[in-house]
Amino acid sequence: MKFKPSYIEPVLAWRNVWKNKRRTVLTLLTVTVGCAMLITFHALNKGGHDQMIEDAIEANTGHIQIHARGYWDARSIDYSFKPDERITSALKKIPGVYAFSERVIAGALLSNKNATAGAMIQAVDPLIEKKVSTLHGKVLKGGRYLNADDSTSIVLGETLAKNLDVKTGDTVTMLSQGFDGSIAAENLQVVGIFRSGNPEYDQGLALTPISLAKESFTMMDHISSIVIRLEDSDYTDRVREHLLKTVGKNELEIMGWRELMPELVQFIDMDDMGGYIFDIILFMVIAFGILNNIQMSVFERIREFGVMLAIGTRPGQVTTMVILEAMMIAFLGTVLGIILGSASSYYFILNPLNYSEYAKEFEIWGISTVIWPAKLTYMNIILTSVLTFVLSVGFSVFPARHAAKLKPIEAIRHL
Amino acid sequence: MEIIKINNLEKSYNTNGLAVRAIRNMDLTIKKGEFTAIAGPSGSGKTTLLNIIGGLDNPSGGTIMVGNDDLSKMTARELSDMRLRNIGFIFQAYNLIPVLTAIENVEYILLLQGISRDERRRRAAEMLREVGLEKEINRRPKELSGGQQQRVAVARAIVSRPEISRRRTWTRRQAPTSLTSCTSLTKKTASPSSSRRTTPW
Repeated sequence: MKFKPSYIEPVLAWRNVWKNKRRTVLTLLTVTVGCAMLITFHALNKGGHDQMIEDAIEANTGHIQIHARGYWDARSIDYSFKPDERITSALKKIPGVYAFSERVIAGALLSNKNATAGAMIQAVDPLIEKKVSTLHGKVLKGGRYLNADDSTSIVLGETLAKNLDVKTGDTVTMLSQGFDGSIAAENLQVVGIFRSGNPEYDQGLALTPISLAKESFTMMDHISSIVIRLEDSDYTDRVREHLLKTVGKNELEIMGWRELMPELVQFIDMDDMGGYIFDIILFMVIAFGILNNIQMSVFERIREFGVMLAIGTRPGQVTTMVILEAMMIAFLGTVLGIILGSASSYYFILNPLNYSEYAKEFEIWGISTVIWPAKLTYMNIILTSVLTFVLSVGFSVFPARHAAKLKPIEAIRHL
Repeated sequence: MEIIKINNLEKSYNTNGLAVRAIRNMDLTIKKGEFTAIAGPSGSGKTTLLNIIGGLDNPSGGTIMVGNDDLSKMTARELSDMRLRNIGFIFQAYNLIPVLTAIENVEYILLLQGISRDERRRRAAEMLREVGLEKEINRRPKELSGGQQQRVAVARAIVSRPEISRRRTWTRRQAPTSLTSCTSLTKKTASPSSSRRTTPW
């Protein structure tokens, strides 16, 4: 006899789901809350990490830097290069490039009276640099950032100023070596002090106008780096490829932010690893919640399954019914989880987590980001909900098969 | 026509290492339309025999032919289909599907048999009327009394017009009036003049 396709399994499954309301609601809560937590935590992680990267890129590093080959390892003024027309005209043409700034960078000794400290002098064009770095916004009250017409001005990191015991308006002496090997010495006036939150910058970075540095360090039109800020971090690889094709990779090194900030990338990878472990635990909680519900409801209904099988229900139909029960709970739970998770993620988008109290701990990692907004992606929602659903349904196969394999006479006698 | 033909049936159980021979060398033939009662003291193997005829239990030896099917040679799925087509069950305890209403319980088998919606409804309602439950068709089992549940089970067993309806001691639970009505109903369905079915009792 041929069976017509029947809707009886879904009907039975749906009614069975609501037969024990309290248990179903508890299981739904497990799936919903678990799924929502996963979505929210992923959103917070993604948002926090993206913010860290953005902050680090914006602060001073930029998305891409161009140096003479060997500069990044040595960080010495000896590795300087002459920016030729090809690079600057290419940078002006490549779509996605927001701004680029030329820098001269040199190690120097800064002295004030008896105090001396080593520092990295970063010489910049004040107007252009403002488009590439946010340090100009971090200058403390009472001071100012470099102006276009400054000649012998310097802006110091907060810790560096403290170590040198200088205030805005004081004078420091800079001593260094020029590109040609000559001595570079200059008396500079402190016009401002910045606090970036990144200990590396606050302790050892000093900003001066590039016009002064070109003379003091006898740069002969050479520079240390071109720092490029893009409209979006996602363009990094594309623009880098483009630059590599234009200028070739022989004399110059063209580095993306991942290479420029390996510690940060490593920190994020490590943080993600912890997140994955958390994910696995949550997924297991959800899956065992469903398994428990289905298993219990199968044990309770052994007689019922016995009758169904005895009067001619096929074992496959029983399996289908039990799996459908799990699918219904998992589907409802996942949908509610998406709604709840998106809502709570949205809350954290509007009200970012504030970690200012832990700023000191974060500094150890060189991270100055203390405001973590959430970032909700479709990828997050799709991946989380699909995994939740598949795992939940997957775990119901065992009790479903158990129900179908029951022997009718034994099952009917079961109490 | 012989609808049940049993030759040399053997059934032994092994409970706690003790072999119990429930059925020994049994031969039985039942013709279509016959109304058969099986009587015997408890433990004499009545239930075992009915379970084997119903395809719910395997014989240890011998052959059972139900219609043209040799039960000992059928797979679990074939047995399942055979039960659906040929056998109406009424169990000792009330065994309805708790999430289905009275009429849905009766319809269930017709649904599995692939009978159209309208005919299902009509036949199930008619059968419930015959067992005196026309007012309770939309109640779920837990809203019915024990006797009412059992009458739904009777309706479910015979609604599909099975070749054999197999019932066990269910009348004990019935009020005297329903006992008469169910018995006559079963006899009616079993009588050659209706649709020639067999009812081992």
